[in-house]
Amino acid sequence: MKKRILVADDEKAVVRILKDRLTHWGYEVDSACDGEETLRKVGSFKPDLLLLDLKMPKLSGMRVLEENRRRGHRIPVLILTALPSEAMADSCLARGAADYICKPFDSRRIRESVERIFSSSSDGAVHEQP
Amino acid sequence: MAPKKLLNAEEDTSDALYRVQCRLTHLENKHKRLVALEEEGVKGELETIMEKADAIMVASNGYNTHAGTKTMVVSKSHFNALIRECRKGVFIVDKTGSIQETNGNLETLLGYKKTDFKNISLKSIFPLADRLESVTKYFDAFTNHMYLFYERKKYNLSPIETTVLDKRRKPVPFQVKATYVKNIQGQLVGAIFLLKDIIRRRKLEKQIQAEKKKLEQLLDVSKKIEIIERLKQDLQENRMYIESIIESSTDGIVVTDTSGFVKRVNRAFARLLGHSAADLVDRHWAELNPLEGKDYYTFYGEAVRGRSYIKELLERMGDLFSKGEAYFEAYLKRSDEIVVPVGCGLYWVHNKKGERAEGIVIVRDLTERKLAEKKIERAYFELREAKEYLENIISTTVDGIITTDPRGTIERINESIEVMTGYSEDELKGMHISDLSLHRADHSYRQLRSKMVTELFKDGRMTGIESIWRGKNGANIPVEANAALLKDKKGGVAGGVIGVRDVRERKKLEKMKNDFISNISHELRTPLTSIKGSIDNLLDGIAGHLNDAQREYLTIINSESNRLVRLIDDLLDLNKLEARSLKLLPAEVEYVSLVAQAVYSLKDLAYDKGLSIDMAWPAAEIPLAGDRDRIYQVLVNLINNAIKFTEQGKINVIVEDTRNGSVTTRIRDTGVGIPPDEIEKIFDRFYQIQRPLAEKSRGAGLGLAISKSLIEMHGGTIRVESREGTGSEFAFTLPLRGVS
Repeated sequence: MKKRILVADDEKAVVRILKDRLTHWGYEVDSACDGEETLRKVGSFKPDLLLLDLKMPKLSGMRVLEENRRRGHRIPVLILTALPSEAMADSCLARGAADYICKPFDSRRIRESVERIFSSSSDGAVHEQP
Repeated sequence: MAPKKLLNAEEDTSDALYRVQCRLTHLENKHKRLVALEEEGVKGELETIMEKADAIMVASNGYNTHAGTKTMVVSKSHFNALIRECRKGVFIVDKTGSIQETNGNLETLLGYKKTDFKNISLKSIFPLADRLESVTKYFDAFTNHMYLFYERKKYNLSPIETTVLDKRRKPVPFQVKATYVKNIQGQLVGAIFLLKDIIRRRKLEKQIQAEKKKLEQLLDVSKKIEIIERLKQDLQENRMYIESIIESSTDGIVVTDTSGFVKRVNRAFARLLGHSAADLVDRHWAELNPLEGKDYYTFYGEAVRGRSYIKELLERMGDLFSKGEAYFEAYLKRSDEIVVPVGCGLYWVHNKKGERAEGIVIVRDLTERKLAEKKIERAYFELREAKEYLENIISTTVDGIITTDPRGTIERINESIEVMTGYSEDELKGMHISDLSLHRADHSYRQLRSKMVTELFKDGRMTGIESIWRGKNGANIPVEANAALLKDKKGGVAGGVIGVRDVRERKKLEKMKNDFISNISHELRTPLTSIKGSIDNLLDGIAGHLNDAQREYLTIINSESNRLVRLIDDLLDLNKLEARSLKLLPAEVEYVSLVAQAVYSLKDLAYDKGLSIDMAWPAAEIPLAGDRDRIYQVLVNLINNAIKFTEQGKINVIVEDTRNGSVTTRIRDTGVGIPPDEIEKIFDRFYQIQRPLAEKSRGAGLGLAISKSLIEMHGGTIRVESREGTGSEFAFTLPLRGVS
């Protein structure tokens, strides 16, 4: 069964690129272009992994992270941001993010991270199966 | 006085003196002989008896001569014989003083007849008997009051000398000796007088007297001459003394007559004007002035170009005439036309009558003094100018300036400090410099402060001190300061001077810049993300198969995009380092593996340039506490640089054995090297080595600056050694437990 990944980014180009790549790698991908939509789609699409941009309209990535946690979603989140800040990375990881990757990203780095998350999550079975 | 005349007189006197003294000696000798003759010469019996006896008692004939204690007893016939035989003049007087009997000798001597003296008064032949007391008394003793004198023995009856008148009534000197004559009953009957001729002796004595007088006179003259001589000598000595004072004086001395014509000058004055002394004599004092022919006042007026000077000079001249002396400053012209400033003291010398006889001018060369005065004046003005200059700078400078005593207590400030802190100068004076600091109470601040003071005392100055002050209104003022010690003359610490810059504006600007760079880097990242992602997808064949040319072009775009990303990353890193917002994410790092990974990642880049790349490491893995990504960034940066600046040869990466709890890594290349004058600047931000002939270098010149900062954040150090044309070696040392 294909793993589901939700790509949340307000940049349509980035969404398109990631969607193509992740699909190419064999995942089922959906996307959201703001914070609210992301939260909605986490509920409806029920992704196995959330690729989350921090800077988004309506609700920032950080808020999404917090809201997710508050709602009890234990979905792993990979932060993908153009803010290369150690402080920011620290606070994201503290709020439960699985990894923190800076844009522009290296596709190899994404693949490594995604595969690592899936391998660890399948071990611990932390997410709800659809 | 003419000295020659005096000299003659002196000679004459001494000659005469000699002659008189000779004569006198001769006469005195003669006199002595005569006296001796008189004393010890042949004496008759009568004379002998009279010398011994007070009285002679005349007894009857046949009576033997008997010598009693006072009275001599002789017989009448013996007495007559004594009188007759005596060679001297002898006469006998009765109690009334009338002559009774003579032996005739006296009469003969004086030119009288023998009978002339019979029955005449003694006094008629002794002219002095009434006039000379001694004679009067003597005669009285033997005549008028014979008894009285005899009884009372009141008078000394030794011989007297007096004169007797000769026939021509001329006095003739005689020695007179009288003795009383008694009869056999012992009654006084008269006296016997014996007169001894002392004419020759008297004459001699008179001569001696005359000679003595002459001698006295001569001696008197000679004494006077001596005094004059001494005065003359004194005068001469005085003259020489004065002369030597005048000539040896370092001040010029000019003697003029009352109308100002020079009578003499001393050597000092001649030297001062460069003339010979003789040249200056008979010239007028005014001629020595720089403007010949002009009168005093015009000259002085022109020389000093001030009417007040003329006025003063007139006053000085007034002094000269009223008080007899004056002092003023003037100018004299030397033989070489150079004008000499002088100080002149003027005095009148008066003659005996109290009239002005000569003018004396004492002239002192004031050149040195004037020069010194001018120098002092100039130095003073320069000092004042410098002081004003400095004070202007201090008061107008935007930076704050504080001076303190050696303990750091504020002494002076400029206006900028008042503006900066809001405190007035009076409030700040006496405050300690650290009272201004926001963190004055913090322990760490105190430690920092004592460290700074130690450094300041060691080097004498400190730069780039950063601190935060609290203003009077409570506002924080970030400041940057430089400090230096003020030294006193002996080299001791007199205080400190601190230049303070309010960096609020700069900090604000820095923050704006940092924010801007953060924003712009984010804004640049977003499109770059799309570009890079698209290329990645294309190259990975996600959008379909690519032909070789398409793949080549995309590879170019990819690598250039990577460059852009690196540049943005570097800018951002630097920004964070500056803002001190970069945080290390420490972890346990397997250092050898990390280095190997960095080398591995860049090997293709080296091989593409035809360079070999080698790595050497110790046998065991080196565990290190640090930020893995940041250390990796440093390694990649340094190896990348080595490859970039090496055209042929090899790159060596050497990890050395750990020593003292640290590890050193060397990145050695065989590249172009770094010029010696640039080696210190290569760690500066944005610095790129100027290399016109070499290949155009790539990058913004941020890599080394960032690497250095990152290493230092880890508590490490980095250094470089290089030889132009031979290669470079960057070596950095990291403590194994630098960060935790």
